Formats: sequence, structure tokens, C-alpha cells
Amino acid sequence: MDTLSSIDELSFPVALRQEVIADSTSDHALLEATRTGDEDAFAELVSRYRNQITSYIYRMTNDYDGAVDLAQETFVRLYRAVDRYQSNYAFSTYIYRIATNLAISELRKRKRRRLVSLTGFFQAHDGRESCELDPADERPLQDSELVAIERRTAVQRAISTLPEKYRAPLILRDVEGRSYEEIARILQTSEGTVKSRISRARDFLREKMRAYL
Amino acid sequence: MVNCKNVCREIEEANHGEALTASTMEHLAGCGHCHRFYDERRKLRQLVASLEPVAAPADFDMRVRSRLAGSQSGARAGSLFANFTLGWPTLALASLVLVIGVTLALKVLNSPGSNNIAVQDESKSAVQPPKQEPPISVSDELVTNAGSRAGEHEASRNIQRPKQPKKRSQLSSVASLRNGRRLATQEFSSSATPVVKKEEALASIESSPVFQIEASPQPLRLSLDYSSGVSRTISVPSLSFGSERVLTGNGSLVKSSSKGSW
Repeated sequence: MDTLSSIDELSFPVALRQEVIADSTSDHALLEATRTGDEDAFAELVSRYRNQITSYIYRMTNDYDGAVDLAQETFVRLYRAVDRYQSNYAFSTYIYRIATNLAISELRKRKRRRLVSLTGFFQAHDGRESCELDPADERPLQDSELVAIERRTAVQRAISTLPEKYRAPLILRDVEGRSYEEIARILQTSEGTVKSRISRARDFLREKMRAYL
Repeated sequence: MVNCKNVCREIEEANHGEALTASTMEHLAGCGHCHRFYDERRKLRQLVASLEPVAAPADFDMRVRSRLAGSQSGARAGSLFANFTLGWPTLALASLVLVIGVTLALKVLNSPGSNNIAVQDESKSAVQPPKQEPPISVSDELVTNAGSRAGEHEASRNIQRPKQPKKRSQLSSVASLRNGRRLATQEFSSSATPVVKKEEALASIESSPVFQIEASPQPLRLSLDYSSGVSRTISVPSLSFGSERVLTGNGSLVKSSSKGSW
């Protein structure tokens, strides 16, 4: 039988130690700490998800300032409802659900207010075909970077014209890379519905992006 | 079994960049429709995935903190009225309370015995000097009783009778509605009551069976001022005291009346 010569030999296996460390810094642990009033834990959660949430809402709304505002509101609501959080699902599902609801609510507000956008003047009123304000640029392309920028702009614009029920699942799947299961939880619907809506959204997008395919 | 529908479904549901199964790839090699579908979906997903993530501003954390602080202070300030919303239910409730209040107020105002309204005597500014009234005759029975009982009572006992108020403004007049009729009463309790002493009364009786009571010939006008803003003036004509009430020794009232008196 081996005898311990020093206290350093009394150590846990490496795998177990890593698991403990990972658990103490998991989203759930941070949220539990936030629940007990640990402001630093909440700040850590904000720093982890601020870019993801801002980017996601920006893809949904196509408005950076509004996206930043809604992302902040997402964290404020998360903080207020921290006691109601149930750790059945991943924390990211929870926060993305809040962000999605806020973004969809904002889109519906815009629709009610009938915000007049510069691009809106050039959209067809029957909703069948949109002709965005996109004057032809006769100048020769400088380099491939400009082409990529133009392509991304076109994609973002095409996404922003999708109906909201198709927009959210498409962004979550093809931009954020979420699984169907997680998207279904975020949107609180079935996986079959999510798959159907994503397929339909891609059909819409293909029609709008035909020139780039 | 591999068919176009299954292949398209697999292409649709596959993760971006994920390799398809061998059977599907084999089908794609021989099916132009599915191959075109595969190319379009692959390019489309590449385009969408090319969207670069957007970064939050540098002061994002500070903004969230200030927003949280603002919302918490706002929640504390508004906690008193957290459940108060000015909507249709609130307005309906307020209207109901108002109607009930007005109804109760009207009921209280119209209820008998509880409607005491201060009455202002308008004639107080025109105080007339006491004028000699026509002599009031006292019946023999009264005089006899008064004379016979006079010696039985103590000398200090006085016969109190309202002679004339010193100042009418000092009187508090009260109007009340009883059994549907409004009555005006004048209360003399707050004013000094003129006193006719027993000796004077006896002396006047001995000299003449008639003694005079000073009274104002002016009609008494009472102005009732309701709290609701309605006012009413009641004119009480001057009274002719054709009878007197005198307490007899056994406490019973002896009435002597003449025509046209109360």
C-alpha cells in the first residue's frame, strides 16, 4: 500500500477537478449566484451573452441602435425574473426566448405604427415582390471585399423582409447555428413546425437572393 | 428507401457543412432535380452564414447597470400606485362611488330631523327700538291664580319670560324639516333672557289687570341657506300674544286664550 509523503499527493483526478471548475462557472451557477444577489455573477452573464443577443436581435430587426436597446432590455428582464428561472433547459434557451419575444414585439409595434422607412417607398404594396432602394452601381468593383459587403447587405435586407414567424427560426438555425430542438424550445413550438418554417423561409430567401446563387 | 423527398429532407435538416449519407450522395449523382436543390441550399446557407456577428457597444454593461438601477428606483417610487391604472374599470368604480355618495348626501339632506341649517336673520341689521304693543289682557283666572300663588313662593323666584331679545344677531335660528314640512324655530337659549321679577309682576297686576309685553311689530324674516346653494326666505308675521301660560302650583298648565291666538 502506498503511503502519502506530502499533502500534494492527495489530489482529485484531473477530470473531476475540471468538472467542478466548469460547473462553478456554468450559466446555471452564475444565475444561481445572481439570485442570491451576486452582482459579479450577473455581470459575467452579461459579458458572455451581450454580443450574441445583440447580434441576434440586430438580425431580427435590422436596426443596430434598437437591437442594443432591446438587448439591454433582455438582460434587465432576465435580472428581474431571475427567481422564476427554471433550470430544466439551457440558459441560452431562456435568454434567447426573452430576446425573441422582445424582437417580435418590436416588429409588431413597428407594423402598427407603420413606420415609414426610406426603403419602404420602393416596396411593392401587394407584398409579392419588393423592389428595394438599390440603385445600380455602375462603377467597377474594387475588390472581393466590396463584393462580400454588398452580398451580406443584400442577405440582411432579404432576411429583414421575411415574415417574423419565418425570420426567427431561420436566423436561429442558419445564422446562430442552433439545433432544431433548441429552436423549438426558444420559440415554444414543435420541432416539426420549426423545420417547416425554416424550409419555407429558405424558399422565400432563395427567391430574393436568386441573383447571388 | 432513398427517394427525392427523403433526400431533400435530409439536405434541408442537415447541419451546415455536415456530410450527407452515402446513399444520398449516390442519389444526388443521378438526380438533377435533387442536385440543383442541394446546390441552391448549400449556397444559400453559405450566404446567410456569411453574416458576421455584431458586437455590442463597449459601454453595454454600464448601460444595463444604470437601466437596472433606474428600473429599481422607479419600481420603488411607483409601488404605491402599482395596482392603480386609470382605465375603464377604475372610471366605472369612481362613477359608482360618486353616484352612491350623491345619493346618500341627498338622502341625508332630505331626512327629517337631521337637516339642521343655520338660519340667518336678515332683520338683524334693522333693529327697531321696542315699541309699545297694545296691552294684552290677562284673564281674571290667571290673575287670581297668580295672585294667590304669589305668596306661596319664595321671593327670589322669578317668572321668566322672553321679553325681547337684546340682539337678534345673537340668536341662533334653526330650521328643520319634519314630516315633510320645514319648520323654523328660534332658539333663545344663547341669549340673555329678559326677566320679569315677581314683585314687578305683582305690582303691575295690582295696579292694573293688564300688563304690556314689548314685542317688535316687524315680521321676523328667516333666510334658510341650504348647503347645496339654495336659499329660502321665510317671513314670520308678528305674533299677537292673546294668551299666556303660567305654571300653577301643581305644575299643570293653566291656559287662558282669546280669539285668534295660538
